[in-house]
Amino acid sequence: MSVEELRAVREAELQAQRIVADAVKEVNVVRESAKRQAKEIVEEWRARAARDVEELRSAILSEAKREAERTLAEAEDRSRKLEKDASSRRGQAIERVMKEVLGLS
Amino acid sequence: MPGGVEKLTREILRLAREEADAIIRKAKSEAQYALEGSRKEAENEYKTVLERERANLEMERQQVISDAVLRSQSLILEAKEKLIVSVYDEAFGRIKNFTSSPRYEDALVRLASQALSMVGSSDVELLVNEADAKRLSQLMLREIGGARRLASVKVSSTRIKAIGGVVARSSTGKIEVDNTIDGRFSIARNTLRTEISKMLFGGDSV
Repeated sequence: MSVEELRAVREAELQAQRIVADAVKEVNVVRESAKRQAKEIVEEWRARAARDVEELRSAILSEAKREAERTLAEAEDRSRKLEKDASSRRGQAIERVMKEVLGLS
Repeated sequence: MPGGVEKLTREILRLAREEADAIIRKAKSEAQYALEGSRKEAENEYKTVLERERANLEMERQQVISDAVLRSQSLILEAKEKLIVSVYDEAFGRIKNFTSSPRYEDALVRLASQALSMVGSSDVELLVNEADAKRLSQLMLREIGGARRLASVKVSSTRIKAIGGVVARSSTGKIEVDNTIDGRFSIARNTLRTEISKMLFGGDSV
């Protein structure tokens, strides 16, 4: 093999090393990119969780508040009805207490 | 350049490119795998957070509803209590007015007779308020005592603070029966509570 041929082979070997070295550099780029993407994915899911929890909270507690208000309104209605129904029997109850206290029972 | 060397250099470069491609392919595949792992982990974390928060919110929801149920029960109990108290207040007011009416004398005699029967002594004094001391005439006392076959019934000089009724005390002072309107009212407040509640609210009593 002549000097020129040896030089050509040597040149090819150096180029081959550069190709592999470039590939290794690209590997680092791929890894860094994957890390960034992974971080973005985690942040995205966390943001989604925060948003969905807030929506869930709003829906569940609004429903609970409506149910609580309905329960209280029913109790107020029942109190008014009790008062109305009792008013006709009030006189009888007063008489009963009076009789007991005055020794008539 | 002779053909053999050119072939050799091409082969060197082809192998290098193959190695480079393999390195990059492997790295991309590993990156993809790692990304999938991160995605699954993040999704699981999302599910865990949502499940935990849903459970917390369910407890919060139950608490809000329990509070409302307790508040409404208390509202109804307060309304009932108010009505019962109003019955007692009204009854007390009417009884107080009644003690100024002529019909009260019969009630006073009745209360005195009941007290005397409970004392179980033949010599008894009656403690009354100032107005009732004037009402209880000698005739009335004889009537009360005679009916009970008592040796002596007299009105004590000691006055009591009551709207009406009597305290009967044996001459020895050992037995004392409170049959005042105030005392009877105080007892009736407790003993009649269930009955009054049933009268007012029927099956929906306290």
